[in-house]
Amino acid sequence: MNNRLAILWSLLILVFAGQLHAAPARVLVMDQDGQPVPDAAVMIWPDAGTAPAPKQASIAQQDYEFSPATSIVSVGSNVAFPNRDTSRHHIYSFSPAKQFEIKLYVGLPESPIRFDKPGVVTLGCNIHDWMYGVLYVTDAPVYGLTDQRGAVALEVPPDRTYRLEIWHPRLPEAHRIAAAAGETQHQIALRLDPPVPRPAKPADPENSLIEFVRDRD
Amino acid sequence: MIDSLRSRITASLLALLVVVGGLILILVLVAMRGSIIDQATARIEIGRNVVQGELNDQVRQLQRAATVLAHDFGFKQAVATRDEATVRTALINQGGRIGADLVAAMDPDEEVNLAIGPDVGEEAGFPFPEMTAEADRIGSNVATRVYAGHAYQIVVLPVLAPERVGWTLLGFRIDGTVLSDLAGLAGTDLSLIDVAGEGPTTLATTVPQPAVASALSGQLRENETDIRVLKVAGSEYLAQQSSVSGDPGASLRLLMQEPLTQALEPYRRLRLEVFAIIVVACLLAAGVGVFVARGVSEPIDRLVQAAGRIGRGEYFRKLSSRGVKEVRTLAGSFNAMQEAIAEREARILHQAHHDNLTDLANRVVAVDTIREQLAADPPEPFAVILIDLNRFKQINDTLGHSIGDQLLISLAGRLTNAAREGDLVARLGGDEFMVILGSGDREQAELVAQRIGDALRRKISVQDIQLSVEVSLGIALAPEHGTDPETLMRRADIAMYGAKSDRQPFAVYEAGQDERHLHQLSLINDLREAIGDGGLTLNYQPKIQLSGVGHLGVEALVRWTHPEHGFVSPGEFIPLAEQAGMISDLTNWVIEETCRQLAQWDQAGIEVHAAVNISAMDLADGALGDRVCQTLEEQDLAFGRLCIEVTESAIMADPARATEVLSGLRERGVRVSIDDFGTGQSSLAQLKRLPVDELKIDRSFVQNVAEDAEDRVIVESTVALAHRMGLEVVAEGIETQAGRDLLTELGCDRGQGYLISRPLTADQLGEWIREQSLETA
Repeated sequence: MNNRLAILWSLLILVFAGQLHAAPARVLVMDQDGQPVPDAAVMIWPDAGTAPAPKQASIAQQDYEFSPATSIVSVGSNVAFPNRDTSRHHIYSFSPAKQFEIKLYVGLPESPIRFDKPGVVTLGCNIHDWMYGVLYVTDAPVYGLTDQRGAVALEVPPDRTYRLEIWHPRLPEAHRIAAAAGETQHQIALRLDPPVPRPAKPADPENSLIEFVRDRD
Repeated sequence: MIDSLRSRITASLLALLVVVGGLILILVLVAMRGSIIDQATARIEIGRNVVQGELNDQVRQLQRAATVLAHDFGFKQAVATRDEATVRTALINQGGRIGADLVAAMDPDEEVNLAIGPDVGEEAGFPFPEMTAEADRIGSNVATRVYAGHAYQIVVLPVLAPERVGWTLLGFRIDGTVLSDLAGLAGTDLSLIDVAGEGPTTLATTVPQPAVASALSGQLRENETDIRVLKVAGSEYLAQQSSVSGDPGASLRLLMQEPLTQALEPYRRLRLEVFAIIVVACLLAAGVGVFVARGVSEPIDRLVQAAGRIGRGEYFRKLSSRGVKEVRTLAGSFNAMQEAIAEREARILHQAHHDNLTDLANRVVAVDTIREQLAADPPEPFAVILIDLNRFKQINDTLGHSIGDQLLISLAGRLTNAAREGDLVARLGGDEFMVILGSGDREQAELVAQRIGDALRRKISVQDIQLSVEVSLGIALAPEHGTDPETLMRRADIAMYGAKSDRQPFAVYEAGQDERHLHQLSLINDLREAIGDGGLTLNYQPKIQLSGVGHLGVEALVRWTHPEHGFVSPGEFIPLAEQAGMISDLTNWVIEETCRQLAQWDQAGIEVHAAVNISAMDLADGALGDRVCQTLEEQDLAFGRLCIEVTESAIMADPARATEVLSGLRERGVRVSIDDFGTGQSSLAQLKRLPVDELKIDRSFVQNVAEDAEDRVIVESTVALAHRMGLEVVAEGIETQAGRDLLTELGCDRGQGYLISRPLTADQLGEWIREQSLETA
């Protein structure tokens, strides 16, 4: 639902940008193997521009997953973590950008969390080890997440140079590009860390056990 | 010694036993050893599976504990927030819970980097940082590693919060205690070996001497997993080396070993027992072999010795008939054989030295005896007496060999009796005997010879036939007549011939006789040549008609002029020819030459009848008649032209034979004349049967017939008798006219003598005939 909203929102931005004679910058993010990298944060800092205003966001825990699994918000945004499961969750993050814990709550926590530092925040649940969420907190005026094809289109002012940054949890450092004015096509290859195996979500999280220990080969 | 039957039997038995026993021993031992090793191998296989399973379980346990630690919220928080103090205490707490011997944690920035454990030194960080990459890749990394000289089972896990914020490590030390527990489960000795450095290092072991484990590992290849029998310090082990936790790249090896020396203990005991049994069996076999072999070889040894004795000519020791049947039989055969050999040898020896018939010593012994006596020291004179029977051949021929043999046997007996003690009586062969006096001079020899002659000449009765034997004895004296057996015997022989020809009972060799004898031998040789190459000539003495009418006859007389000795008288060489067996050659030559001459005269117109003399020995020649006739035919002469003259004594030597031969000639027309009639003691009865045409009155009656009244009576009655029997009478040796006249008056048909003519050559005869015809005319 939020996804759709985001897409709709993006489309609206695109429509407006077009009307403002803004050209969309198309960014295609691949990994070192040439595979598209979805859910990467792509951010643009035009040489003059301001960060958008903070806004409300929500990352729900539904079906023992974060929903959406990856989100991006502007610095200073408040994010609500509504629990839509019957089980309690214990949401936490030890990321440098934001460390917090919402212990054993049901329904909507008492207050949303405000993310006031840019960075990648990984979200986990102490009760359900497989749950994994990513929240990019950015001060970029323009930003977006790559889709399944690793692509994202962002509105940039046509006559401005800009800085482009890409974030990803498996990218040790942010990938930065300085782009010329009017440069609208970016195909970016990232060198990603290999994914760390993590507990998979059980088929039926309320009845089956998760598997941690991989027996030796 | 190994050749002897005894040792062979013993050795064979022993060899058989050793081979069979050895084979059994080897088979049993090989099978047993194999079985023991198989069992130990099986123990190692099972033990290895048990140990590896146990180690896997431990790892799994470790892994679980590590996972619990890594997901502990407080721990995660401490790692994520680089809270090293909290991390340290959390590790200690969690590690203690699961009994880990090594715990560690680290974040990527190494703000937190620590390790805790009994083997961890000061300032030590995360022990195996290189394991983190693999842990990231597959979620956990499990290994068995050496840390601070100890083997550790290690698990490294990423710490997820939920992003990977660091790593944690947990380790179990596998020390002697752990290994002992494992060894207890496996039932074999275990060692952990580090093969990383120069040569294997034993990290932990249940073996009392860790060096043994290192040595065993050193003999195995690093990645070899075969179970092998190895030897260390004189002891055998069954050993296998395998990587721990299925990590062949690591330098740790699990060595499993079974002390075979101990496992093989029953095997060694059995080996000793079987060996002892074989040794005992061999001893028994040797005993049995010696016993059996002795039973066989001892009698054979005795037989061998007996054979040796027989070979040396000792025939008188009997073999005892002990032992088994075959040996007894063999011994019996040996005894029989040696008796037979002894008997045969005695017989052969006797035969070699004795005459078969008379059992007297033979020529060999005689020669040896003479030689021995000649060699006597001091030399002693002795004599050799040779005895020859006259006309023994005649007795043999007429009375048969059986009687001849018996005669010889009887004579041998007499001879032996006549000889003195110490004399040797021998038969040299045929009718020749010899007595060798042990000693004695001429006088004694003559005495003995006389006695022998007397003994032998006595009448003797053989198969109811009374026989009297004439013997001739010749004596040679040693050393006077010879210093070697051959000379003595030859000279005795010569003396014997002298006695025979002189009709003496015995004769002693006279010096020179031998030379004469040799001269005769050379004459014989020359005569043989003369007959062949015309060295002989014929003279012809006319034999004229005294009364009445008749043809002219001649008597062919052979003459020999020797190139060296000149004229040799027929009285000398004809006996030699007879002696040498050449008489028939001589006679043939005379007949052929006479016939040739007759034919020649025929051609000259002179018709002559001729007479030739034949010897008594010619009468024995069955082919004489045919040869005479053939010669006559060849010369185309009437058979009546030839007259064969035979002396009365020659006829009387064998009247039957003479009658047969002469009849054959006469029937074919050849004339036959009896020569020297009146000297041969023939009876009228015999004369009557004789196939003759003519009598020649012997010259002894003719020469003095004119003066001697007795001769005249004899001639007169002979002529009358002959004429009555239809025979012609010839007088030979007419030397006086008075004699010729008287003989003519007495009725002699023909005459011959010096008065009429001496013997003439063929040419002279022609001349003579011409003169006669002139006279007559």
